[in-house]
Amino acid sequence: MSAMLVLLRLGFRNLAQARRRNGLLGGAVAFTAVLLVLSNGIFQGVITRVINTSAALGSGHVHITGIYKPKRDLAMYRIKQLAPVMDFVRKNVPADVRFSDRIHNFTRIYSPADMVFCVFHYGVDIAAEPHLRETLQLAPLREYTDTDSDERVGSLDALADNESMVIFAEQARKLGVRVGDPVVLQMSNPGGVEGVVDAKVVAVVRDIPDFSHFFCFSNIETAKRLSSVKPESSTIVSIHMGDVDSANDFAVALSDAAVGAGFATIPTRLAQARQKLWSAQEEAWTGQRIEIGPWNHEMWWMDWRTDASRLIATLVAAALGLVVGLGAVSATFVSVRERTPEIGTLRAMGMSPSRVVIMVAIETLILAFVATVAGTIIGVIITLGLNAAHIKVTSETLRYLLFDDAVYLALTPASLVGIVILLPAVTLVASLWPAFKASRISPMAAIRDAL
Amino acid sequence: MNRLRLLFGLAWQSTLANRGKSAAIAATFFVNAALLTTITSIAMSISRALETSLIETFVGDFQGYSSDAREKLDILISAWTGELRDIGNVASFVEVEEAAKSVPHVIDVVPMGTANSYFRAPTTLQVRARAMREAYRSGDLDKAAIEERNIRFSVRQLLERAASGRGAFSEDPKDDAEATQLLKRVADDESLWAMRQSDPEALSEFIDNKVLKWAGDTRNIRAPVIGTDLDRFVKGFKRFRLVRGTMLEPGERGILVERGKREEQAKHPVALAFDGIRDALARNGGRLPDRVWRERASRLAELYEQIILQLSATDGAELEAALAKHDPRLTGSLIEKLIAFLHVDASTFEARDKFFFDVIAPKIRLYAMDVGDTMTLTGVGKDGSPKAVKVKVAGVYEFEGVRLASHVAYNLVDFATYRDLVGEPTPELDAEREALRKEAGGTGNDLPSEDDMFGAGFIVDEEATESTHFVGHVEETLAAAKAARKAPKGLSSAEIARGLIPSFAVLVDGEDNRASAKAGIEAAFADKKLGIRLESWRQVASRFAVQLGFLQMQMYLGVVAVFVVALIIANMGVVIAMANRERELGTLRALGAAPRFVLRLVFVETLYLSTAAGALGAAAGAGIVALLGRYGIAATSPAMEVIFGGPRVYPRVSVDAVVLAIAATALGALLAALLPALRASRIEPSSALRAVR
Repeated sequence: MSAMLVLLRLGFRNLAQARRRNGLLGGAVAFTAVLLVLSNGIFQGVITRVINTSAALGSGHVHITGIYKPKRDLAMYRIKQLAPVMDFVRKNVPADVRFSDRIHNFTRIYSPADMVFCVFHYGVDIAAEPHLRETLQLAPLREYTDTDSDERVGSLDALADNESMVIFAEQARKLGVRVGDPVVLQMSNPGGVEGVVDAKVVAVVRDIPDFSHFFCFSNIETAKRLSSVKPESSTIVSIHMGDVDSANDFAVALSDAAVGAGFATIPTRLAQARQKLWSAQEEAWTGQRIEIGPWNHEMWWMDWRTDASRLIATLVAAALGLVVGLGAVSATFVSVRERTPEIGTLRAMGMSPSRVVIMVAIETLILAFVATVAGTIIGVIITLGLNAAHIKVTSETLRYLLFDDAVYLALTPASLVGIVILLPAVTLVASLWPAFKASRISPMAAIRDAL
Repeated sequence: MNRLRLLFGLAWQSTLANRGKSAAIAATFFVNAALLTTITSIAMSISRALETSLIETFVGDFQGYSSDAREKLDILISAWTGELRDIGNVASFVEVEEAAKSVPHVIDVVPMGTANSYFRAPTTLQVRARAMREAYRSGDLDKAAIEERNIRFSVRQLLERAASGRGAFSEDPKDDAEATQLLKRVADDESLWAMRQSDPEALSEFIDNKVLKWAGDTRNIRAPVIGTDLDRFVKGFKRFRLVRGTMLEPGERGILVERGKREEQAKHPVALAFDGIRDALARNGGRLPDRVWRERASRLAELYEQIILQLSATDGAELEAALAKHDPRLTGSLIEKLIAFLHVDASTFEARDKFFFDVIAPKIRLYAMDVGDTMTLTGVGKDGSPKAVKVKVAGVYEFEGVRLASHVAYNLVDFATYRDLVGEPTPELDAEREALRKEAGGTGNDLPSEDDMFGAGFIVDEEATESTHFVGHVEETLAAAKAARKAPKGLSSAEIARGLIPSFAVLVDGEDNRASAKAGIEAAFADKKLGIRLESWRQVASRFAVQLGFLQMQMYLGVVAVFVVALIIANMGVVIAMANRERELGTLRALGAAPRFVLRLVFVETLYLSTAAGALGAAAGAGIVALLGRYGIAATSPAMEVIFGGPRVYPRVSVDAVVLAIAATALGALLAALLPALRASRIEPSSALRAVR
């Protein structure tokens, strides 16, 4: 223990002595930590936005979708008996997790002027869906009418009214409708029965890239009537998690629990909604089954954005780590070279080669750790500053890229801890080679070098 | 000149003398250049792959459509999400073509329109019932007997499924009991089959109306189409290759199925499931987690009926024996053996995969759409109403050297079929149809005859509940039959050109001529006031162009971050190196070297290092890219498949990327050396003496 304290003291003293060289390496490590915090913040920010928006507009971070086959080759989205499924969810999700049921169908919306096809028409209970309420923003009139007005009319709360409808600005433009105008909803139910319902547009919301083309929302009772869904039935239960990263694991655990609770399940997979029905039709069973899956198995076209962001964030971190590692090798070599007489003297005084390795490694570790912590703190401050500044993005392309109106960098404790552990670890590993070289310095060589 | 030689010579000596320090700095430059080359080459390759997969397949160098269009053209949208964009029609394609072709470098103008549709494959029992009816009609009693035996065999399998609790006929107990009773009659009641002698038509009617709705190996296949003048399409898009079947003659109706789409969507579901497991194993180094095995096997086992119902009675008996021989653990009835067989795991997969393709596949129909089949395409027209069109599969095609993402690949149909499918509700089309009808001599106002409805490949589309059973499909079939009656043949190129055309592709003879051709065409269109908007692939496939931008932006952000850190590390290296060479540089100054000489010396040394290390790094990066190019980078999601221009992107080394990497590394190195070089140039001669002491 005392030997370790000596080594630590020696390390601190040596670091203080070679301020310039250590300052440079420390600066590089700290700067890398700042970059890692920022780049991770950007990538994680995009991932969080994509997942939360997909979950809010779609069926939560985890969904339970019912597939019902009244006949061998006829499949429809339906949970025939919602109550047992809701009871099951209640028993198996933490108390702070929100969940509610939705109706999903494929609907055509007609106005006197035109028709739009709404592949994801969700009937929702707006009071039970705060996430959706937060994600949808009323669009200013200029976004869907010929006026320049910034006025926002309508109300999302009105979605609680029967026969109410919320559409996106681009749909309103195509249909030529405004808030208060009537539309006709029509869908071909799997049973061949045509469902037709008159509805009123109660709000027009701002477009969201990749969604607004084929998403729309109506009051849940309206959607049930349109789809001929009985009061005791539904189609989907959506579950909203606090921690977006846990969705996959939670879906797996919930699926296992569902099997344990006696529900017949279908393996979840990433596929188009209609394709899932068609696949079920190919199978021999009839009756009720449920699919429990994470958000991306429903919002399949968004999956690549999170995948790509995660992959590139990892590659960037690896590349930065590699470059910093090289810097650490270089700096430690120079340090060892400069300290040949000192190390030789220590060896002559009886310090073992392994102790020399530990001494050099400890020095590098102290330097890297202090620099990483400092860099991480600076990175966090910059991130908080950028988020507080709420920098608005006006370019449509940037809006699409960032998936938001404003620059948002996510800070996750796990990633910060990861940076504080991994960066010093990389530096430490990089310093081992020069450290082993140092351990081979003989006292004689050190004396020669000093002369 | 001598001074320059001295400077470069001294820098060379100095670099060699300080090999240790130089190597550490050079390593940073090496890694930087390698990363720059790799990432830039991959980014460029992805961009190129997407561009090729669009320009040389469906989009052409430009797409033109009406400038009065209510919506923007999105060429991939019908295939991707099934939407139909309202882009109106080109006012006068004849004039458009004339104007465009008057511009130098324009090779061809290809009319086209996209639509979403799907194809519902007939069940095996439907096919057999029809064959039996035809055999009765033609007096081929031997064939009728075979079909009869096969139908009864299939029905017995259905009854076994229901009896074993693997899937009722209906969730409604009354319907289920009725179905069971009916099918038992078909399986065992010889008095029913005795009708073959007395009233074969009545027997066929009974099978058609009472039995077919309970047989369910039906399949739905997405079949988005591009309607085009196939003659021009083939001439314009040089990568087009017919791989099976025959080309549609001018004026002939039909569909050409895209090879990848057929392979991924029309293949037998059990074959697809085996393919999927094989691919997953290949991607994961030959191992899959237990959960994945369980899930895959449970899906596979649920598909047993897709095999059983396709077997003839003889093949069924043969397969039962072969399964028992293949694995003695497979016991019980044919269904039980087959379900057990399909419950694959890590230890049995390889052998069973081979057995399926060697023994089972030859006994079943491996593709739901094959050359010669007549299929009914069902879609939603521009007015939102369901449309159905019967078309013959004339062939299977591909684009040579491009493997399209199946989510955005289109099948090709003739223009008459396309127009029926989207149902242009305009007076012009009505007039055109009327003219064609007169030419064909049809009456046009009668209901379809049985032959119209139950022609070759007729599909009984059984949807739903008892009350609506059959009704929806009859409407679709009537629509298809009516369309077929009204337009019995396709359209010639001249007829297509005179008709309604939503958009057109312009093909130019070379990438370098694109800009000038575009300017020329736009001027020609403006001159003739044709009201046409001309857009590049980036605009008509903007969704994927922006997604490509997103991917590239992330990659380049990463490159910039790495470059900046590399710069700092290089700077650190040079600073440390200079600090250690104080004696040497001081001596140089004492010997009369001017501060500017020392400054240049440091720059030249850095340049030596950065250029050599940068070149080596770029070569290493090129090696990595070449390696990746050999195996490809797999797309992990449907959207990525589109952006990659197929399931895998094969990166190619880009000369631009190599040059950029070397130049950027050298420039970065000079920047990194700027401050240390300035410091070194300020070293006083006396410092050399101090350093010696």
